[in-house]
Amino acid sequence: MTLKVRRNVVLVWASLTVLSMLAAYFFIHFLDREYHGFVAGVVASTLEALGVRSEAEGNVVAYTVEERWAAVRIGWECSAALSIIVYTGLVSGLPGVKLKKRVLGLTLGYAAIFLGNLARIVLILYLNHLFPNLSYMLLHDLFGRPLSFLWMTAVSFAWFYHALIKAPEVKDSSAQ
Amino acid sequence: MLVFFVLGLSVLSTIYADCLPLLHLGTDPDDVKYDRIDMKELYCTTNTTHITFLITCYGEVKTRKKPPTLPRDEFRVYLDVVAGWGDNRRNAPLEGADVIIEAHSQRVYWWNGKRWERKKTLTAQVEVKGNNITVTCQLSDIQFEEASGDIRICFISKLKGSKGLKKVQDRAPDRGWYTLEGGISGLTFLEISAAGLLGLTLASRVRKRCRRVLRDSEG
Repeated sequence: MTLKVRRNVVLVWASLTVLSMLAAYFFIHFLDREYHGFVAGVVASTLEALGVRSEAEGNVVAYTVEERWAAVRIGWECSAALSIIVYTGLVSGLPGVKLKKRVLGLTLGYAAIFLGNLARIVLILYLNHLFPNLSYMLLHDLFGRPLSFLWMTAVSFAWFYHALIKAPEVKDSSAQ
Repeated sequence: MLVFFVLGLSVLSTIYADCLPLLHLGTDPDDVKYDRIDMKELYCTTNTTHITFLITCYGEVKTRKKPPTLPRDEFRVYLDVVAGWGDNRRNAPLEGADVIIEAHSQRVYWWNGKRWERKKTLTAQVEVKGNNITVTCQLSDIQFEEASGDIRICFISKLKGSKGLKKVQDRAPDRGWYTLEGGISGLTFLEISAAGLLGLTLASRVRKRCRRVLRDSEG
């Protein structure tokens, strides 16, 4: 591969990544209220299933801490919207991958990011319910942030592994 | 897919409340001579369209003759919705506040960067019953849904007709603000990008190793 072709590939890669991230950003922004409401609803029903009294209204989740109600608003930052946007860029921008593979990568990746984020929020609120004297921001810094980073690394690794390792040229060379 | 289907069903099956249960913001001590303006318990609740503040006083709240649903004395709810924006003047009643809801006049004021501006199209619904005052306004009126961080809340009461900051009779909380938590922030853009690049690097290394193994086996 010549230097010029390589440069073009990188340019296309970067452009597609940025464009798809922008598209994802506007799409999520468009669905803002519905998406945050959906996340709040799922968090409330999961907490309820774990035995914590909780209710959701709009994008606010209320849950009990020491017989009192506490509330958390699900907004842009804690709904994994940013992770979804970056992941969309990583998947859509990578050149030389078939559409079917991309769609599969996006679907499974979105599901993994959503579930990972759900687990993070539920874990933090559940721990806050169990240990009311601990600030949930502390719990977030202790567990939420490192686990989120590892999870996001695992999800992106899974995508690149799926896209690069099982790429046609590797398959072909193994066939030979 | 199955997981999402189950999650979807669980959300649909969740009975959404008409509004959330009352969130207790705090308790204020009995520190004012006049019980009718001495705030005791402060609550707030929201539904999909409105936010309601409930102020409970130590004594029965006096109402106006016309209309009888409004308090005679002055009660204000100060909100700091947008972080880093708001009234930061030296003599500001509450530093950082960007919305004021007046219970006694049903007016809503926004900080426009220089002064407090009354939004004539916006009014708060106010009701007085015994020791309680409920103040309700639309979420959009206070930009609740656009707020990304914590929302800070403070209550102030004064006797009717008293002017100036020194005439503030009660403040709840006595220092600082009550906070409506803004959510559990996730990873930043840089952290997510770093995680993505780390994933790419790891996958590239695995790929190289795979190729080497293939080459070795061919050789």
